[in-house]
Amino acid sequence: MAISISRRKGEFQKLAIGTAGLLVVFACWSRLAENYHPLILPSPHETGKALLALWKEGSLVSNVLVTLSRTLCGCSLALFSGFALAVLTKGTTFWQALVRPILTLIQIIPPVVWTVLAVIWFGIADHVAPVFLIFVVTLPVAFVSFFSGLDSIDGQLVEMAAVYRCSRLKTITEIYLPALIPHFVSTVSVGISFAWKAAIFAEFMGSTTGVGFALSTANSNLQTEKVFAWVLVLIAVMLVCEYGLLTPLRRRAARWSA
Amino acid sequence: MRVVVLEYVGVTKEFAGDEGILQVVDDLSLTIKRGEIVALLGPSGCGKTTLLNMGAQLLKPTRGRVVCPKGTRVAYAFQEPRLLPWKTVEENIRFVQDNFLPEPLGGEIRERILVQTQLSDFRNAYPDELSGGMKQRVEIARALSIQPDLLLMDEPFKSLDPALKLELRSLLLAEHSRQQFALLLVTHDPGEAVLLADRVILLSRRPAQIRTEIALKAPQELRTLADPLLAGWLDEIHGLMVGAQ
Ligand SMILES: Nc1ncnc2c1ncn2[C@@H]1O[C@H](COP(=O)(O)OP(=O)(O)O)[C@@H](O)[C@H]1O
Ligand SMILES: [Mg+2]
Repeated sequence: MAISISRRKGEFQKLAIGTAGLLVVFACWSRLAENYHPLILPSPHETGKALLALWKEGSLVSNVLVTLSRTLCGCSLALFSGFALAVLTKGTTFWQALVRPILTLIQIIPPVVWTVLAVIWFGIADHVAPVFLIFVVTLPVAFVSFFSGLDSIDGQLVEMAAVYRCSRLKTITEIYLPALIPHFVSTVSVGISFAWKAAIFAEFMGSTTGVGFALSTANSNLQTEKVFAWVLVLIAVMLVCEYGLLTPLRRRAARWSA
Repeated sequence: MRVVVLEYVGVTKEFAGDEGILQVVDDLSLTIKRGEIVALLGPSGCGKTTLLNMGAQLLKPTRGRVVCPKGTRVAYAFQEPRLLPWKTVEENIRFVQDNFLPEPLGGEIRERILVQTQLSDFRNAYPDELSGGMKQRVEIARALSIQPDLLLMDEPFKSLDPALKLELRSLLLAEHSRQQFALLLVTHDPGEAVLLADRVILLSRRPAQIRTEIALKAPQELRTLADPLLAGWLDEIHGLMVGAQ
């Protein structure tokens, strides 16, 4: 009891300090904005107005939904493939020797290059280019995380399953997967934020919808207050994702693996 | 002639370590038939667990063969319990039962064994809520619950209190006469060996070789350590073990 109270107190303190820091940043922004042209640094007020306009015309919701669905799509593809590749390569030196360098190569090539290639290959009109980039950027992260997760699997339990004649499938679903759940959650956390950034980037470079595209339009139309409004939206989405989804998920996983 | 369920033929096992090769089993041959209880008795570190692991086909011998006829249903109570932490006691048992037994039958056996191992009140507990001794009992219960042809047990009663040991020994014997599995039991307790086994195999120090084999004929249900015959066997074994030092 005493421990939980003092822990809560500690958390409250952290929250207070964090909020104070953000308020300082906000104050600086307001203060600085007074000295600059809105084209260079729009004030919080102007940004708020732009945000409201975006909300009213409906482009806020529709663009966020488009970007989110691309993120989820590319991210789940990457998580699934990363898991499959990790399981596949774990057992055999052949597959490991084959897959590892390819993934390293994928990782070394900068995202810009992938985006340019995706636009050349898939055009800019549809979902393929952003989803492709999200996939490409998130896949190595997912693979590495699952691969090391497999290391943490208790070989003794796998031996037990072998003695008692569990099928390969049963061993994977009943031993590998549960043991990987904590890793899965951390992979999802890292993967989603990677994927979200990749989505914005890809939309910025080559797409006709989504938050990234809206940002790029605002930018080329010199509507700096709109750019700022979109940035606020980006931050808000990530915060909701972190505290609405990932934090509860992590808490779950921690309770579960204990 | 009873069926052979496990056979070691000229088995040698070596491990490659940092300081060269460690020989753990040396040219050992042993045959275990259906219904037999065979105790492997030897000092700690002599290679007993390694022998069981080869019997369970988890390790391959360096030389020789370990033959377990196809279709032999093997259960293994490991030296340290190997339970799935995310499954309850009952789910852990079902996890292996489902591979062999249809459910109404599996459920009956599970019920009987949970009661006899005094685990029925803990069937819904997770392993991390159990004491070490209780986990050991789950390990034993799981092994007994699949109606095995061959049961491998690695010091199954170590560090349990004497009363519980006694109880689990008689449970094991009762299940043995009911199911007629072959039991290969590793122990370093000579008393336990002479109480349970039809054959006591005395192993040398590492690398394990068979030093002597003692056949015990009296029915297990009638054996007590106070029995002069048993005391005689015990003396003989103690003598041999001291001779080995
Ligand atoms: N996988 C392994 N690699 C290297 N050495 C091992 C391995 N398994 C067991 N040993 C060694 O083999 C010897 C016998 O081990 P073990 O069979 O566990 O003995 P026991 O069960 O009789 O106490 C020990 O010295 C142990 O350190
Ligand atoms: Mg051992």
